[in-house]
Amino acid sequence: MLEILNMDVCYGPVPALRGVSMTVGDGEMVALVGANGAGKTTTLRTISGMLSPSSGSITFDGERIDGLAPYKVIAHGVAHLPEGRALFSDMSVMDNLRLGAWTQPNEKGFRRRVAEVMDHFPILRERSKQAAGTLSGGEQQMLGVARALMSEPKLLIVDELSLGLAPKIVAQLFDILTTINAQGTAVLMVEQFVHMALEHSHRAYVLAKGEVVLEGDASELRDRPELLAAYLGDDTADDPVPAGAR
Amino acid sequence: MSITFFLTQLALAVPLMAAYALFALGIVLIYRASRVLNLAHGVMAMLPSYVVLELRHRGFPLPLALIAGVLSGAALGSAVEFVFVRRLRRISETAQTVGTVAVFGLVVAFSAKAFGTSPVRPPGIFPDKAIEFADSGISYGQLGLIGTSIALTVGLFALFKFSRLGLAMRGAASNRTAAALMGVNPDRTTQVAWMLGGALAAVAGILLSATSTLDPYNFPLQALPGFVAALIGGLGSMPGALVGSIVVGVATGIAPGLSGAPVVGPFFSAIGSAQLLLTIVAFAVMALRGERLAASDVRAAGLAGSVSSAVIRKVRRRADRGRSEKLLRSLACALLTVAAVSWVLGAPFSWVSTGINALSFTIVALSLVILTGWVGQISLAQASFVGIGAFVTGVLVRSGLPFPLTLPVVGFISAMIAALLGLVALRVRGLYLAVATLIFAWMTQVYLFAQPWLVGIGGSSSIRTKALGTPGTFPYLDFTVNTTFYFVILATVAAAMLGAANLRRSKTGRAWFAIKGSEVAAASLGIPVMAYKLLAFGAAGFLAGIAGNLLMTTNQVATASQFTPEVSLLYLSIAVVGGLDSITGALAAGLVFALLGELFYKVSALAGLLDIVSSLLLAFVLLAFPAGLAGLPPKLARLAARVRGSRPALFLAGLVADRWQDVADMRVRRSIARQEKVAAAAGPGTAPDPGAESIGTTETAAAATPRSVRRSSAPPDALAPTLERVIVQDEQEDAETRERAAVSRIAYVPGTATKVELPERWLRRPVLHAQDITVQFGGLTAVDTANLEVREGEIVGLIGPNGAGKTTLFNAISGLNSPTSGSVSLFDADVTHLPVHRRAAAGMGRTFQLIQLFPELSVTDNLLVGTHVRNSSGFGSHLFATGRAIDGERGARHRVAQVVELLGLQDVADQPVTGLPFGVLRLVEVARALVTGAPFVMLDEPASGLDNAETDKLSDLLLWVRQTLGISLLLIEHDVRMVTALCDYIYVLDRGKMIANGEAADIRRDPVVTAAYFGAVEDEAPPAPVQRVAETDLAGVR
Repeated sequence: MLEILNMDVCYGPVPALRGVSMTVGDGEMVALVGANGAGKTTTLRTISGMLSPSSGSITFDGERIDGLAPYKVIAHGVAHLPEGRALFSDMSVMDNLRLGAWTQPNEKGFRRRVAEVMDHFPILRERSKQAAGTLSGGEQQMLGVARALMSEPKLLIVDELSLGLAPKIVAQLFDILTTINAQGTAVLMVEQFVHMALEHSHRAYVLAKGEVVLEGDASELRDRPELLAAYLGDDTADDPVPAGAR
Repeated sequence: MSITFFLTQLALAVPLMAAYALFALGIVLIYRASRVLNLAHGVMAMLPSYVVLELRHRGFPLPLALIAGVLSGAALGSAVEFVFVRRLRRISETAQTVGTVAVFGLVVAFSAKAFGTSPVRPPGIFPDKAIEFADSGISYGQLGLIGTSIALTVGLFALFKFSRLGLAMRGAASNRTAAALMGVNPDRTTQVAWMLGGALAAVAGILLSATSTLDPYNFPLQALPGFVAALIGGLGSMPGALVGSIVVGVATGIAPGLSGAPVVGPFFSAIGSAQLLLTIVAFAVMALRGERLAASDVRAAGLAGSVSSAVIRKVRRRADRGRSEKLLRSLACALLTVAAVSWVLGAPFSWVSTGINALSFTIVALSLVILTGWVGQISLAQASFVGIGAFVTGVLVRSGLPFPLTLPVVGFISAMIAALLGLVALRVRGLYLAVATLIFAWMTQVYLFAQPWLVGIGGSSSIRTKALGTPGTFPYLDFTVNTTFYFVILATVAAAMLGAANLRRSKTGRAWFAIKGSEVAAASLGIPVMAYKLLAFGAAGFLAGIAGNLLMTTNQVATASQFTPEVSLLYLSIAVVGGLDSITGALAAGLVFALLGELFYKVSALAGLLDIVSSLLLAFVLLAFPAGLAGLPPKLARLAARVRGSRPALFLAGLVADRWQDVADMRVRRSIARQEKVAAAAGPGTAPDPGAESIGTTETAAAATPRSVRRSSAPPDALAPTLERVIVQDEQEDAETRERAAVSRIAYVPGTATKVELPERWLRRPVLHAQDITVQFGGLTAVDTANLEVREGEIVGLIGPNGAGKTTLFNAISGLNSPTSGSVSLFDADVTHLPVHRRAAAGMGRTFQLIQLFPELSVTDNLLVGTHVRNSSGFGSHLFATGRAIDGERGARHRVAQVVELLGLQDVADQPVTGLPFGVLRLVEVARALVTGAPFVMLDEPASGLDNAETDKLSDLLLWVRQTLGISLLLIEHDVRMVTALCDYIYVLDRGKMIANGEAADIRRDPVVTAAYFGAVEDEAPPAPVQRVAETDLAGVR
């Protein structure tokens, strides 16, 4: 469904991605992991049109989407929940959802989808009139996911779902993400909690210094020492996997 | 003053209030959508008013005329957005604001030409009746204005609340990026906002003009109270803007009533009291709303963000110039001088007047070159300062002070007033400032220049002609002859240009450019940003003031209408057309505009078109040729060279244009060369002092750090031992090698650095101690009682997952945010409440994640800014390029040469920083921190953007720097590999709490740390952090 070929991205003079290639299949859940600064967020931003690749291509359902403006990319069915949620924090929960459904301006369909996402996140129903900025961190992240789902995307891109959240809430969010995926939406996620991400996804890519250094089935990658090395430096490779990370 | 009178005044202000509300709503709408303060808002109200008037004169029915008028406002709004705002966004906020200023000038000039300059009274829109009210009456027109305003406001709120368009606009205003991700086209919502804003302004203008009068010069200023109202409401809030309009309306209403009040009464007795009160309100609001330097200022405005847009200045390698070229330059300059002096002798009177005009334009343009071109502060009040200069001259001369004395006195008074205005700029930046100056200009025009004690009755001031000296003696200056005066003003301009050139090449000029480039970076190098901004305001005010003085002295009469905001606009046009940061450009543009003025005066067919042409010139230069006239000679020279070889005439033009920039530079160079010769001749022992105060110490860097940091003491200098070693070597060498003496023998050789074995941690003295730091934003606790210590000679790493609060803690340490509780001490001195630049002066250097080099400066100049705290020479010495300034400059260049040599940057030293590879830029930023001599340097993600090989190189270099200079380092870093290889000690932050600290090897094996990085799976939450910190703290001091 999503196919990235040999993509290079630069921030001004700064190269951020070098020759990245990856795919996401129909209904697949794919994790993109790697150390901070490896280029994960940059990859997602380039897919959703916030950045333009300096070379390479991005194809979605057979159509080129690289270099398109974000508001055009979402019309193709790619929804992006950016790092830090990017909510409309001075607007109400319902208005956030309305904006999420911008590409589907059908009042009836809107009500149906609101009901659907509220089933995933019952707490949002109680908060629907509240300003998004007044929600707790976990609720905000739920609203972020809910808002992204409002456009009925074929592919949902999620950046750092766990950012700044307590482990319990993170687990809850991941379960919902799995449910959404099971209902047919493909998911591409960037996650710093590697083991959590690998547990919930089908396949994974590991980025280091702007390049894909490893890819494979999530279950296989879980025990690979190179993965850890990408995080903690070369000499930790021979360390046993710490207990806390299981 | 009775209560009834008061109430009547208030009631009379209600229609104004309604108009202000419409203005303010439009301004807020546009600001929210595009972050631009639309200074053209007034003309968006005026043009439609004229359209309606014209159509009605031509017999169109009223409704049709009204619709056409409102549509013209909407069209004007979207045209401004499309032509200026959208295109200039890539350049800068300043450019966008100047763009709206250009529109202002253009529409005013066009209206003056098309509709005449005299006030007209448009026919009423509503029936010409009035309702008796209190002692006065309120007309149907005013009622209509109030009613329409209320209806439109309600409609606008409904549009925003209930419509899809409103939803999109609210979304784009709240979070532009997120809105785009949802599928909203943000460019379109911006365009719609400008259209709506234009339409609102049109409605307000049409209704307001129908109850008062319409003229091209004063009517656009009626929108200014709308700005004040929007400011009171916080610029982004529409309900706030409504409240602001009420406040402003009440202020307008009660101002005349204040004339009877005690103490303040006399100030409000003349006309313009409403403007005075509004100015006071506006400035008070700005002062309250303004904020000090904040972490949020470190934005993409730094180098990384501006690479594509910055106008890259061509930095020539001055050393490469041949002797013949230098000779040619001197010759060209001499010719120009002779021409400037001799042509006047036989010239007719009007030509000489044109020359005088050109020169006075030059002086004012020069003031803007300094303030706007160098420091980045927009002033729309330069004509007001010229006016103040002229009128104060009148007062002084009438009280018996002769001309040459009035010049500095007036300059000084004007500088003081400008600095007062600048005080507002201390609190607000960029956009606000432009509005502040415009409001000030309005107030001076309507209020100050109507004060009888300053300008006499009727707004015109005159003096009797005076001559300097007695006839037959020398010097004798007869000011009735304008040739005499031409020479006086020529000498003044030459002095001003020379002074400006001196400043530009000095510590002061570099500080100014640094502030324009990045205020945060400037402060981090020890530059007191606010003081230097005030200085720039003072300097600009001084120049404008003496221009006014010269104007008064030569014309012997001045009237308030010579100093309107439109004239300020003309001055800004001159400076921009000249090339905003070029001294020679100011001269060239002054000449061009004076000649244009002469031409348009002589040729009757062109009469009245001058303002249009000058506004068009401004718009053209802004959009198509930002380098202005100053960019012309090099461009022509290149063009000529391409066409057929080098054309001597154009070549010469290029040389002349560049000349003034060089004068000061040359003086410094010559003096350095001379003094070095003298020193060499005098033999050892008198080797030139490179300017570092602590040079005499024999201590090592580590020991040279002071026990406490006192305000008066020179900051600890980590470079001192390096510089000293060089001098010792110099003394032992013969005169021949001394020629290369500015170069160190110590230089970084890659791969030679080792991780030195440090004594036990507790044995080393603390350099930095951050104690119990808590930082809260609103209800959110970003950092929670964190402790962090850096000891002598250590490299300490601060790591943690995304969102852990590392940057917040870093900013609290460097002074960019104030911790809610806790303290920061540097070398045992409490610096918790010191501003950024004072911490820098106390020995704290830093680099930025988004590289904050100054894009307009070369590598060497960037490094020279770093010498700021090591250079004790002052403004006066810079202005006159005295020996002290040159000494300081020599010391500074010596320091920079040291660091360039140390880090091996010789190859890039003369290049502009824009366009250098990223790895080199990182290195230059590290070098700049080293040049300050700070014994403690903080590095914000130094490895971001570097690949593995580059990261290793950087680590090696940092180790070598520590080893050689004894500098202590603190780095935030994501690259755990780098941190564990480089750091002696590591702190780990997670969700605002310090969860672990210890030596690299321990940290790597710590399960708590691993859990924080990889995510603990449910039910395996990390152990309570508080306990953990206590435990590790003990381990730390064991």
